[in-house]
Amino acid sequence: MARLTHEVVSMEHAKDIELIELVAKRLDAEREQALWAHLQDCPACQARLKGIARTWDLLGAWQVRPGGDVRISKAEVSSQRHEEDRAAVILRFPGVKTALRTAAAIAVTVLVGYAGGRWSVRPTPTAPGTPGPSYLSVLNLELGASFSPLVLQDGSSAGQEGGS
Amino acid sequence: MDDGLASDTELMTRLGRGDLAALGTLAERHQGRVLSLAYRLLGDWHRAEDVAQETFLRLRQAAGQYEPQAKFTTWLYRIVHNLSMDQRRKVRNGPLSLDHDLVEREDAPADGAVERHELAELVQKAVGELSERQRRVLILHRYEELSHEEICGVTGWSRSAVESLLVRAYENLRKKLMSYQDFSG
Repeated sequence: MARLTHEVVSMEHAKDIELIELVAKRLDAEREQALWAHLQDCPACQARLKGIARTWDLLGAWQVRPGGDVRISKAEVSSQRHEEDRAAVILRFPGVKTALRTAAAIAVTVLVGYAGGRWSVRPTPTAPGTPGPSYLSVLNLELGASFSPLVLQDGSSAGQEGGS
Repeated sequence: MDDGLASDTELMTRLGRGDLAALGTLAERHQGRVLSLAYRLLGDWHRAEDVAQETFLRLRQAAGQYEPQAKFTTWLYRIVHNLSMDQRRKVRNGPLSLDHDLVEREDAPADGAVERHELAELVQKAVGELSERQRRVLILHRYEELSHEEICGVTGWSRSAVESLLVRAYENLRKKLMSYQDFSG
């Protein structure tokens, strides 16, 4: 019975994947022996084996020789650890990130608004000793030096409106 | 214990406890094959070095949760493989870069080595022309000497898919290299 099984196996052609593993020398001893037994009497499989073996050998010509070491310094690993720790803190307080972003956005908006206001309003030239517009006295306000550029003169205001 | 005698699993356990010397030993032990695998998958030394470096940083990150279920190298190669594929996706539209740092890094080939050098370039080109999946399994099988099961572990593909890809890869390479085979006997 054992001999019959062996004969049946030896009559079947070898599978490509088995021939590849035979060339790679990664078959178990029993299967390798059975394949060699078949190959002895099968020119077709011998030709396939020869082609695979030749290809295998040619592939061996592509040898890779890394030129240097992988640069994994302790500093890199440590800095990575610090980044992880920092990220962990933010993850533990997820609201902190949003609050920081909001605060930064508000700060930038205020600064841009302040700078834009300073540059967009031209100072109104007033002669020294010129009294302020009448609406200021009605409102009980005094014209300080810092606010003078922002105050509309009665005449100029009317002239601008009339001229437009 | 001497680091050189410690197993990969022991080193990972120590790394998980914060022993960075263990990472150095793991890198020293595996960097050659990690770099070679990344280079063969990517065809570019600079990107291969980036992948290798990232691989060992990933080891450091994963060490705390590492549980030795599969062979360490299978797990390691899976990281290299996945990182390399991420790199490949970034340049998917371009052809596989075949840089020639190999040539530059070695001394100029002597007279007897010219033919071998040309053959190496020919083989590299032929492998580079395989389909993406055939190329991956071939590199893992022929150059990293992984078993079918290990290739399944690295790629996440079924055994039948891996074996089918291997057969087609070797057959395509046989055809591509046939002219050289005929020429050189």
